[in-house]
Amino acid sequence: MTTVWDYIWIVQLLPVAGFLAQALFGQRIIAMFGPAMGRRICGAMAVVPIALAFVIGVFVFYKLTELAPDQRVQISTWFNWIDLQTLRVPFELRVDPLSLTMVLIVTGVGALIHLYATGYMATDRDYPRFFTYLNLFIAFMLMLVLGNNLALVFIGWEGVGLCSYLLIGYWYHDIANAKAANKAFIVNRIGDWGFVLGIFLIYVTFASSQAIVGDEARLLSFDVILPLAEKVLPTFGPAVVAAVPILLFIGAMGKSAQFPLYLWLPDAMAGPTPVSALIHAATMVTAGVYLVTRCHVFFELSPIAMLVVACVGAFTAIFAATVAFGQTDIKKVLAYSTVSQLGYMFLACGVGAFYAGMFHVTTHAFFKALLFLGSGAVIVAMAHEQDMRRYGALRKYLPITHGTMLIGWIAIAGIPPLAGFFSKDDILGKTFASSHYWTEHGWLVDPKILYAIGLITAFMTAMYMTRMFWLTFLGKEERWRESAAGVSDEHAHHEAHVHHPHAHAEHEDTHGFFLSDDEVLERERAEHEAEHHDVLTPDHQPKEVVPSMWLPLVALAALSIVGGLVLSGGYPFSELLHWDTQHLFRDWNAIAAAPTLLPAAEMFHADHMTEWILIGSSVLAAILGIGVMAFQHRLGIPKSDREITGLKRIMGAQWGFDGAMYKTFVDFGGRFSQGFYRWFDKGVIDGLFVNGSAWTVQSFGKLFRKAQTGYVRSYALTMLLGVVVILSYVIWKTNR
Amino acid sequence: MGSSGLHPAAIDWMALGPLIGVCLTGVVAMVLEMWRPRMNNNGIVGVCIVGLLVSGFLVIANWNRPGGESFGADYSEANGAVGNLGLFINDRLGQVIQLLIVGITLVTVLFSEGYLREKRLPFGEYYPLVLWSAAGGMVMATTRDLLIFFLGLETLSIALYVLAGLSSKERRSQEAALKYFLLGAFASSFLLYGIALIYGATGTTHLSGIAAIANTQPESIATFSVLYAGIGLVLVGFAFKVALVPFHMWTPDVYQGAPTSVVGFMAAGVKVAAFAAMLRFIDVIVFTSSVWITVLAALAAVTMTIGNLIALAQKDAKRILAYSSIAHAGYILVAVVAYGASKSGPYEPLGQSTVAYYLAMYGFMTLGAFAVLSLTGRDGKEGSTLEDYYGLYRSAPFPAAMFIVFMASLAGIPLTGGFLGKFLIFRDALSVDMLWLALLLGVNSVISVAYYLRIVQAVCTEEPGVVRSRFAPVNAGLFTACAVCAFLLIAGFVAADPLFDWMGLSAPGASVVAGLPGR
Amino acid sequence: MEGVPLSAYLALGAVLFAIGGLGVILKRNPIIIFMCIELMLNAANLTFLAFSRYHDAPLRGTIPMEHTYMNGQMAVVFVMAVAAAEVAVGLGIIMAIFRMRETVDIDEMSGMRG
Repeated sequence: MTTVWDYIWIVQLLPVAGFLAQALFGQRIIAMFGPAMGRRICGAMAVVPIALAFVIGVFVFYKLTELAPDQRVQISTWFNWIDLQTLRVPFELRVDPLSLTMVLIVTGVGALIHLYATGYMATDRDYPRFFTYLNLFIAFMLMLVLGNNLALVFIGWEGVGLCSYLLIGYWYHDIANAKAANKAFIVNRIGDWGFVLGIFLIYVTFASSQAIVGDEARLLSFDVILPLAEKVLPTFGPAVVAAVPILLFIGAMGKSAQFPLYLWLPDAMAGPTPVSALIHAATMVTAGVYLVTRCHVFFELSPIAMLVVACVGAFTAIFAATVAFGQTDIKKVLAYSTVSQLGYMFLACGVGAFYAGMFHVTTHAFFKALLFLGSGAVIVAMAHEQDMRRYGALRKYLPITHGTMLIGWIAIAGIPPLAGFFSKDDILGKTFASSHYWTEHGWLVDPKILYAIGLITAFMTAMYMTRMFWLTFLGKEERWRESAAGVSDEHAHHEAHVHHPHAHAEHEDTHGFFLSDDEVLERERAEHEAEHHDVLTPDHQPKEVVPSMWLPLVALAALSIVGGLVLSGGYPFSELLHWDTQHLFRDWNAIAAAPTLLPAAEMFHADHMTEWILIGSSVLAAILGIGVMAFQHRLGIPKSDREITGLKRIMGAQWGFDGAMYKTFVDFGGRFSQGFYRWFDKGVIDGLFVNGSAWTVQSFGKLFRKAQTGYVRSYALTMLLGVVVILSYVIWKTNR
Repeated sequence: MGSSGLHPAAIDWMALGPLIGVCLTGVVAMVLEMWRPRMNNNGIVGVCIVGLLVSGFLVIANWNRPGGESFGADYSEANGAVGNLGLFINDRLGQVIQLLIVGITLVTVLFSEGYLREKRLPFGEYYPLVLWSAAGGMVMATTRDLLIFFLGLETLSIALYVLAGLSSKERRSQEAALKYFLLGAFASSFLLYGIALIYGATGTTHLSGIAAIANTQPESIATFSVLYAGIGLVLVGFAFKVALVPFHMWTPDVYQGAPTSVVGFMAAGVKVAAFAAMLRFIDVIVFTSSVWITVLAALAAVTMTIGNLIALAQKDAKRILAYSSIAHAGYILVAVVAYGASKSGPYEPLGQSTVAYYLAMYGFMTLGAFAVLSLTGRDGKEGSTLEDYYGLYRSAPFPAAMFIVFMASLAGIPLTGGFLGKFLIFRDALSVDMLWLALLLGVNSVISVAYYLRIVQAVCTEEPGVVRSRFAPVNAGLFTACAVCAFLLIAGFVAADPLFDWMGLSAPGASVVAGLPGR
Repeated sequence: MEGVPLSAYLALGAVLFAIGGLGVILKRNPIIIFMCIELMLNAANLTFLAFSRYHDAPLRGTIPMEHTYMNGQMAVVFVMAVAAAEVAVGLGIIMAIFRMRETVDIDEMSGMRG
C-alpha cells in the first residue's frame, strides 16, 4: 500500500534520475544544442531534480509534524535486498525528524550549491561530468541519511566517499589534485575499517542474542537494533559495550575529519569550490555526526565512548583553529575552520547533547556553505588566485559577495542573533552543564575543561575568520597590484607571464545570467590553456560574479541570519509558525527518533544565572576575537602574514603533524613495504608458491602433452588400453 | 502373440515433431542446394533458420504434454518388471536437450555462412549435414533403447566425419576427418559390442532390461559378467563421444583441423547429446553395482586434471579450447557421477537439473567462443595460433568483448552461467560426500583460468603494424550469434531461479539455487 | 542347433573382435584399418545373432522370447546399414587424401600433435 511516507523514495530517486540523465545524455545535449544552450539545459537537468527533491522533502516533513511525537518514525520498504535465514536487509528508508533534517539540508543547500555551480563551472570543458558526479553525490548522501539499516548507510557512506574522490580529483590533469583525491580516499579507508568492524560487531552480537525473535532477522535495521541495544549489548560485557560505539566513531572520524584523520580535508580543497562547499563543508563531512547521532543509544551505553568522542571533538576543534591561523589560502582557512566546527559537533555529541550537535550541523551548513561559495566567488573574480595575501579591499569591487560573506563571518564568529551563535552557545552551555553528571559517571576529564577549550576555540574562530575577512575584503591596499615578488617567492613566476590575452577581466558579462556560445568556447579554451590557474596580473579589475552565483549567496546569507533563531524557536518565530515546541531540535528532533538513555533534563540543568553567564562569555569571546584581529589588521596586512614565519609557520604546517604522518607512513612505511615486497612477495610468495607451482603444473602439462603423438594408431592403442584397464577393474571388482 | 501381453505400439507423432522438423528441414535444404544460384547459400540459411525455429517451437508445444515412451512394445500391463519398451521417450530431459540442440544448431547456422564464404567453402551440403547431425543428437537424447541410441550416434557421427573434412583442400582438415573417422568407428565397434553383450545378458537392448535384471537379481554370475562387460564397453563409447581421458586423443587434433564452425557445433552439440544419453544410462546401471560410480569418478578426476594440464602447454587457440572441452567433460561427469551416486546411495536424490543447466551453459559458451575464433578465417586461409588473434579487439570489438564473456564463463567467473554451473556441480559433489572430487574440481578451475586468460590476452594484445584485414569482417549472423550466446550465459546466471523452475528437472522439493551467495 | 554351443559362437565373436582391434593398432593402411573395424562390427553382429538364436531367457521369462529374438535380428540389419554408410564416408575421406598426397600411410597423417 502506498502511503505518504513512500514519497520519500521519490526524494531518493530524483537525484539518481538526474545522475543517469546527465551521465547518458549530458555530452550529447551539449553537442546537440551548442555549448551555451547545452550547458543551460544540463545545468537545469542537474538543479531541478535536487530542488524538486527538496520540495517533496518539505512536504514529507510537514506531514511528519502532523503526527504525534511518538509516531514520528516511519519506515518505507521497497524490496528485500538480502534475504537469508539469519539476516534480512531490505531496501528500506527511514522517515524521522533526524533523517528529514539531513534530507532538507542536503537537498536544500545542495540545490543552492548546484545552482551556484552552474555559474561557477560555466566554462569548464567537462560540464556534464561535474554535474553527473554532483547528482550522484546527492543520491548517495540521501541514501546515507535515509537508509534504515547499516547496510544502506554503508552504501551511502562509500558512495559519498567515491563521489568525494571523483570530485576532488575532478581536474585530474593536475597531479596534485589526483594526489589529494587519493589521500582523501585512503585516509577515509582507515575510518571505514572501523565502521565496517562496528557493523560486523553489531551484527554478531545481535545475531547471537536471544532477545530477537520472529520476523526480526533485520539485524542491521535501526528500528530493530536501537530499541534493543540497551538489552542486548550489556550481556556481552563492558568491552563490547565500549567497542561498538568506538568502532562506529572511528568511521565517523574518518568521514568527519577528526584528529588524526582530518588530514585529507584540507587537501580536498583541490576540488572545485562548489564541491568544497557541498561535500567538504555542508553535507558529507557531517555524515559522521549524523552517524553518531543516529546510533546515539550505543554511545550512551558507554561513558568511555562518550569521553572519547568529547575529547577528540574538543581537541580537534582547538587544534584545527590554531592551524587556520597559519593559512594563506582562503579555502584552506575555511577547510580548517570546518574541521574545527566539526570538532564542536562531536563535543556536543560526546557530552550527550546530540541535538545540539545536529543543530550545529544545520547552522554550519548554512554559513559554511555561504563562506565557501563566497570564497569561490572571490576566487573567480580574482582569476583563480587563492592566496589571501594577494587580495585586499575587495569590498568595493564585489559588493554582493562582500555583504553576504560579512554575514557568514559574523555568523561563524558567534555574534547573536546570527545562526552560529545559537548552536555554538548551545554546545558550550550543555558541555558546561553536564560537568556534574559526567564526573559522577567516571569521566577523568571534567567537561568544564572541555568547555574552556571550546570557549578558547570560539575566541580563536572569531580571530582567524576576522583575519580572513579582513585580508580579503577590508583594508585599503589592493595587494595584487603590488609587485608579486614582495608577497611571496612562490608566486614570483607570475611576473614572467606577460599580460594574458584571456585574462578574466576582459570578459564583459553582458548576458547577465548566461553566456553566449562564443564566450563559453573562448573562456573554456582560455581556462584550459591556463589549466585553471589564470594569472592574476597587477592591472586586474575584479568583477562581481554572475547572478546564478550570487543568488545562492543571498539565500544562504538569509538562512545564516535567521536560521539559528528560527530553529531554536526564539521569539517571535515559535508563535508565528505555531510549532508545538519551543526548540525545534531539543524537543523532538534528533532524540525523539529513539529515546535517549541519558537523563537529559537533569544532566543539562543549569540555573538562569549560570546560563546568562555562559551566554555572556561566549559573546564576549566572539567580540574579543574580532576586536583583537581588527586591531592587528588596522594598519594593513601584518608582517607575520606577509611572510609566514614563526609560530604561524608552525601552526600553518599543522604543528608538523602532517609531515610526521607522511614521514612515518608514506616514507618509512613505503620503504618498509618495498623491502617486504621484494623479499617476501617477490621472493617467497611469487617465487616459491606462485611461480613454483605454476612451473610444476606447466611441466606436467608438457609431459602429458608428449603422449599426444599425432599417430592415429597410438591413439587407438591408448583407447584399447583404457578399455582393458576399465574392464579388468570392473570384472575383478565384481567377481570378488 | 496373445500370450506375450504385447500391446499395440503407442504412436505419438506429436512427440516426434521436433525431430521430424529438423530432418525435413535438412531434406528441404538439400533439395534447395541443387537449385540454388551459384555460390549463394542465403536461401538455404533462411530455410534452416525457419525450420529450426519451427522445431524449437514444436519442442515447446510438447512441453507440458504427458510424457512417456512410445513407438514400441508395451509390456507394462503384462509384466511390470519390464514395462514399456518403447523406442522413443517424450520426457522433460529429452525436451530440454532437444531444445538445446536446436538452439545450438541455430546459432551454428547463424555464424557459419560468413565463415564458409571467407574460407572459400561454398558447399550448400554443409547445412543439411549439420541438421541431420543435430537430428542424430536429438535421437540420442530421446531414446532408452541402446540400438536406437546407436543409430542416432552414427547419424550424428557420420555427418560430422564429412563436415570435419569439408575443407578438403586443407591438409589439416583431411587429417582431422580421417582421425575422427577411424577412431570414431573404432569406438563405435566397442559400443556395439557392448550393446550386444548387454543384449545377451538381458534379452533386450532397451535400458528397461538392465533395470529389470538389477531388480530380479538372477543368481547366474556369468550373466552378470557379460552384463558388466557390456556396460563397460558402452561406457567406453560414451567416453569417446564426450572425450574423457583416455578416450580423448582425437579431440585436440580434430578441433584443430576441422573447420571452426563445425568444431563449434561438434564441441557443443555432440557433448550435449552424449551426456544426455549417458544420464539415462547412468539412471539404470547404478543399480547393478556400485563399481560404476567409482569408475566414472576416477575418469572424471583424470579427465579434468589431464585436460587442464595439457591445455596449459598449448599455443594454438583451437587446441586450447579442445583441451578445455575435455576438462569440461570432466566437470560435467562429476555432476553425472553425483547424480548417479545420489540415486543409488543413502543421499537425498539430486535432480538432473545441474547436468542440464551446465550442458546448456557449456554449449553456448563453447559455441560462442568458436564463433569468435572463426574470425581468423579469411581469403581461404585460417590461422589459429594465439598470435593469429593479436589485435582482434581492435578490429572486431564487439565479438572480442563477447569472447571475454565466454572465457569468463568457461573459467567460471561470477555473473556468468559457467560460474553458477560449476558452483552447482561443486555443491552436488559435496552432497554425495565426494569432497575429494569437489576439491579437485576447484583446483582445476583455478588452473584453467591461466589458459583462458592467455587467449583473452592474445585477443586484447595490440601488435604494432597488425593488418586489420587479417580478420574477416563481422557480419550480422556472427554478431547475433555472439549476442545470443552471451545473453544466454548472463541470463542463465541472473535468472537462474525461473530457469530451473521452467526446466523442471530439479529433484522434487529441492530449491536449486537458494542459499547461493548474493541471491 | 545341436552340437555347436552358444559359447563357441561367443568365443568366435570375441576372437574376431580382438583380431580387429589388434589390426587397427598394427596396420598402417587406413583401408586395412577400416576393414579391421568392419571385422569388429561383424564380431558384434555375430554376437547379436548368437544371443538371439540361443537366448535362454536369463530373466526367466521377464522379457518375452519373441521380443528378444526380433531385437537381435533387427540389430544386425541396422548395424549392416550403418556399416555401409560408414564405408561410403570413410572411403570418400581416404580418396580425398590420396588424391592430394598420393599416399595413404596412416603414420603420415600426424601433422597435428601435442
